[in-house]
Amino acid sequence: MNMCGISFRLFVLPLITLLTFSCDRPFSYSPFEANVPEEWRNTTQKNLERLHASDTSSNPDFKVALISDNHYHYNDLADAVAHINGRDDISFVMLPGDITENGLQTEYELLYKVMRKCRVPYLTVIGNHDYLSNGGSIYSQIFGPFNYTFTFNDVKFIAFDNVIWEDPKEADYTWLESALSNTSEETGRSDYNHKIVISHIPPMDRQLIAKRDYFDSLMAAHGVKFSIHGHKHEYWSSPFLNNGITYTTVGSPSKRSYAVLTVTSDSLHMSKVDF
Amino acid sequence: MKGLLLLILLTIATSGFGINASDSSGVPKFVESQLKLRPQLFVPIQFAGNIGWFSTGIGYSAKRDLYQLSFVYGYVPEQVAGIDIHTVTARNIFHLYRLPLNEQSVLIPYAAAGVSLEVGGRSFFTLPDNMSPGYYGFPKSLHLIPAIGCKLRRATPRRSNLKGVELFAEVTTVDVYIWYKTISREVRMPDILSASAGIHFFPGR
Repeated sequence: MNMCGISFRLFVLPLITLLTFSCDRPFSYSPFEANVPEEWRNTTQKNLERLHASDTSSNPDFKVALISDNHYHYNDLADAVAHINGRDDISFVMLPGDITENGLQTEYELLYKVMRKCRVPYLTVIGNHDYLSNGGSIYSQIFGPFNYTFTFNDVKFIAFDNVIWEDPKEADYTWLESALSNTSEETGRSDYNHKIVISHIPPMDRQLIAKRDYFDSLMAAHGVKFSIHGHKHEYWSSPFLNNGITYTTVGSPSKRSYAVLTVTSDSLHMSKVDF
Repeated sequence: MKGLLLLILLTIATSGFGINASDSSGVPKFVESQLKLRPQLFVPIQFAGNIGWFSTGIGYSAKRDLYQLSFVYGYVPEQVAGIDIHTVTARNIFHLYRLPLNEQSVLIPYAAAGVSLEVGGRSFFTLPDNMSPGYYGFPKSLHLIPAIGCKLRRATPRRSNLKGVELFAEVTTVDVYIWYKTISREVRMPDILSASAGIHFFPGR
């Protein structure tokens, strides 16, 4: 065998082998890339379309599973999804933030691949870790707006971005107040059985303490009974301010649990589910 | 199918090593005298590898040719990454073995570890002033970029201004990806590995 042939075997073929082995995404230019493949885009919109297709307003009772702060706990997240898939009473899943550890595109990709196994639609709220590096740009490319609302079975859900350290800004309380108003931009309806606000950081956290009273007053003024958050990694649910609002922090799946919000026409109930 | 292709390619590639080993008797001494590099500088140019779409800088080959250190600047344009990215990286390359091919060429498998810092981006090295001390434990702009690869070092003709070149190809990953792979069955090797290639120019005679 001549040297050219040997060089080919020794150098080119291993290169092809390496490329083949890593052909999911053959070349990575930086962990900080923020160029989301077309397939992942508009995920929130796609899931809302799936959700609206299953809207059963004639039967207002439903359950929502909540998994927060999965960070890099992909096994635990997958186990939680598998547990939810084994139930037939969950209408959709909410992820109230910190769906990545460092806001890296590969981390979003890993989350996307795990959540693709979820049988029911899932919706997200951005968390502080998700903003790190170029995470905010990646999040918006995959999921869409940071603040959004949707209705399901006469219940209005309000996803609110209240991260202010990693993305230095004021949380948009003007938008929140508008979203809490009784008129729906989507339907023109003015009545809901419930309104539920979901944001990553609980209002009693030190970084939001200056706005806590204002946030509470908005919730009370608009009849919100449940304020749902993540960030603390531990499940906690309490009407601790005695203002008629139950504040909940959803635990991390690394604690081997998720939360379930049970909705009826006249009640809301949060519970912790171990898996 | 991909696994079968991988197996076939690995088999062919591995057989090449065996053939070369039997052909190389008597060659190493000449190759060593021609290609063993005295302490000297080189210019690396690299495509991909988690340190830039394109990266270049300056490198140094240590005396016994077991180790190379290079400092490179890497750039990823917005058209490629969705956002402009600038990095500076210190790459440590450890030569694992030397496999002479002929009088001009030697094959060198190696392991590398780059310490890569994003500059001018949204990631941070020290905690921003608006965050509480200890809010994040590690610098977000700094990553260790391990790699394994193989380089083909080739001497250039005597009339050239180059002493030699090294063509290299490698598989790279990122520190946190290894951690995720280690703790999670949900993370597959193709999720965390990617390829890169490049060339080292050794100027002078």
